Amino acid sequence: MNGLQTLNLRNGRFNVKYYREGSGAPLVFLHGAGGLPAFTPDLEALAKHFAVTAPLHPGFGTSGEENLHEDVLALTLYAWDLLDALGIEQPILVGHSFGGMLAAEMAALDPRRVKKLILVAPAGLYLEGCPTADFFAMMPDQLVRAAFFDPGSQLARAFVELPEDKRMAEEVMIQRVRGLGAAGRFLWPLGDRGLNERLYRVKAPTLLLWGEGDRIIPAAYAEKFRELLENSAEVKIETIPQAGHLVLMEQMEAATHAIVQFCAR
Amino acid sequence: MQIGYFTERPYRWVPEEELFRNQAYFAVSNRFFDRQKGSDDYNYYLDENCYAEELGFDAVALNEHHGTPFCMGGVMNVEAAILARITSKVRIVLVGNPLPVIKHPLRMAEELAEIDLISRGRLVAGWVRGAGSEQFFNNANPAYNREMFNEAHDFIIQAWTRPGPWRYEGKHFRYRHVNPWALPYQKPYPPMWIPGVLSLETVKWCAEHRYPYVGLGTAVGPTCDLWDFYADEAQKLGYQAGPENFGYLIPTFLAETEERAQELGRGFVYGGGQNAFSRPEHTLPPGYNSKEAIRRLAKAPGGSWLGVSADKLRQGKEGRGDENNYDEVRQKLLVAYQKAQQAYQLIIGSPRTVLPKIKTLLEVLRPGIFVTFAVQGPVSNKDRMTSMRLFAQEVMPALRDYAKEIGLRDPIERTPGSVPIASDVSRVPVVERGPLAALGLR
Repeated sequence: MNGLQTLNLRNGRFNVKYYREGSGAPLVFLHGAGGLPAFTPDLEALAKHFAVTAPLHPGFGTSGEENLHEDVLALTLYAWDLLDALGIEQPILVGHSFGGMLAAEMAALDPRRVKKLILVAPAGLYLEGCPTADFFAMMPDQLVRAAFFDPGSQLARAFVELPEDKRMAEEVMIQRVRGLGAAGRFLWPLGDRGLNERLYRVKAPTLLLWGEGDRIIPAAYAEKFRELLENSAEVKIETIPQAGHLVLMEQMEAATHAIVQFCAR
Repeated sequence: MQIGYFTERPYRWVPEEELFRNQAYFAVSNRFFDRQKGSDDYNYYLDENCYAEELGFDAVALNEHHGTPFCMGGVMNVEAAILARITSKVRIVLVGNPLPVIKHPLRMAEELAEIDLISRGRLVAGWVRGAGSEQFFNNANPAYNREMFNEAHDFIIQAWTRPGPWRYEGKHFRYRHVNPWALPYQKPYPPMWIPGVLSLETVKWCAEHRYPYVGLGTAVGPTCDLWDFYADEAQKLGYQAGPENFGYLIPTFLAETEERAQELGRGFVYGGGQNAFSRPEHTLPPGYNSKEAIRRLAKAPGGSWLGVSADKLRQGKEGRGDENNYDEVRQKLLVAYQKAQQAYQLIIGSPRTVLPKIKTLLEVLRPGIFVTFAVQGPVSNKDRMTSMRLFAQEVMPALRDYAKEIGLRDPIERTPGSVPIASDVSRVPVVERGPLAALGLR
């Protein structure tokens, strides 16, 4: 993959792959269960304002997921260890979906260290009567219908299309399944892994950014997060129209603009 | 040779349209469960297993699935415990308990010990990882499926063999006081036969543990490959594999006439049959398969047990065709029904036509364990029992003779893994591929 850098963490237990581009205040982007196939346009946009670091999670290109046994604390400590090793002290943490849950966990574990917290359609809570979609029980076409506001868009079709080359297609299929499997280590049990009991610890000003038409984690979850983030210096909810769960992809300009604006305050 | 009887204990009363509408058995709403019919069926299937004993089968085999009318055995140990008491001769073979799904190996050790004790040593324990849908039903994390399988198995062996009390702290299971009072009747513990469908990892694991591997209706050619792989692994471990290391379970239905058998045998594709066990999204949850297994699946198209196939993996992308034209679906199923018979994946007919087919399977695959899998779908109790009787009276005696003639020793006669072999000699073949080409099978 282009532009990927490598770092050995904890005596080679993790061979971390990450992107680093741009300059300015340090911003760490934590990707969702779909992985991060490239330094995507939304990250390019953010890199115009920030020094963006976007690591691939264990199982998504970074090795060592077997060392993180179903334990959210182990994953959270791993993520902080990584930032220590990268010398990132006071990051703006941006996390999408699964990465949003991880960002929230990080901010709860070490609240003084997060400058701003931006949760983009984060996983991690359970709202009675409004369950999140079980994306582990979806085939690629179903996933696209659920994840995109406009499943017919070119963006959505490109997301599900396999490369022409059979071998490449095979690799893409394997990567997808592997990535979901890796996320499943932490998300499979479904719903809340205890985040609701820890969110009170978050101090950082927090932006809850949602696609209005999110069918994976409905926008109603934003209120639940706000309610539980009782000690955050500030909680702002911003809902982006014409966007689903992949809001950063579907409404790239509006979404990244919201992030930049929130960080400028 | 051990000859066994197996049925999924299907719940036969869900309208086929509902199965088509749901595109699978798994996840059909339980509002279609009729308590009276369910009660009748559970009792009937227990009686059916007693009838198998009466007819001279050596074993009755049970399995377990959850949340599906395909198989009513949601808690197979309950049925096994009853059979332990109401039968007196047959082996009670479990194919098998889904260890990673049940997630309580100490309790499992206790249950099976009780069953073995009540049956006075007739239990054959078997283990499975559980189908993909089981992981959803039980919220069992597929990422840890194989780890949990291995750990639970190793723990149960310890629980049965190491005098307690002792403390156990594993990765997935922890017990502060391991001391199951009841230990199995058989010493040191019941034999284990392991059913499987496609996983090389499971075959390797069986070879390492010297457990018979029971192919669940696996396609004949690939089964030969799989058993050669087992035998090669066995040789690395210093033993010659033989019929005692292999079992084969195959859908079988008989009637007095060919026409009647063909008509009723269609029950095997009722609602889509095995290929409609679960929808693609429930079949292979992410993390369930190793990287190598995903690679194999991605490469090898074609149907297999419980509908796991590369086609299914890709189905999501290519769409599902017209889901509402059930006549068309039925026509396709009839074609599949004929094809499966040509490929020896369904054995259907009168005793006269069924016998040579099974003999061919025995000749090629050389299993020490042979199990018939009873028809699915809305076939009456009477017709089910006729099929059993015809098989037992008109096919089984000839099969026993034939098995003896070609030396199909079973795992009771010869302990699997007990024939030593050096690593530098050529091993005895475990399959006979000769007849495959003429049958159009590979």
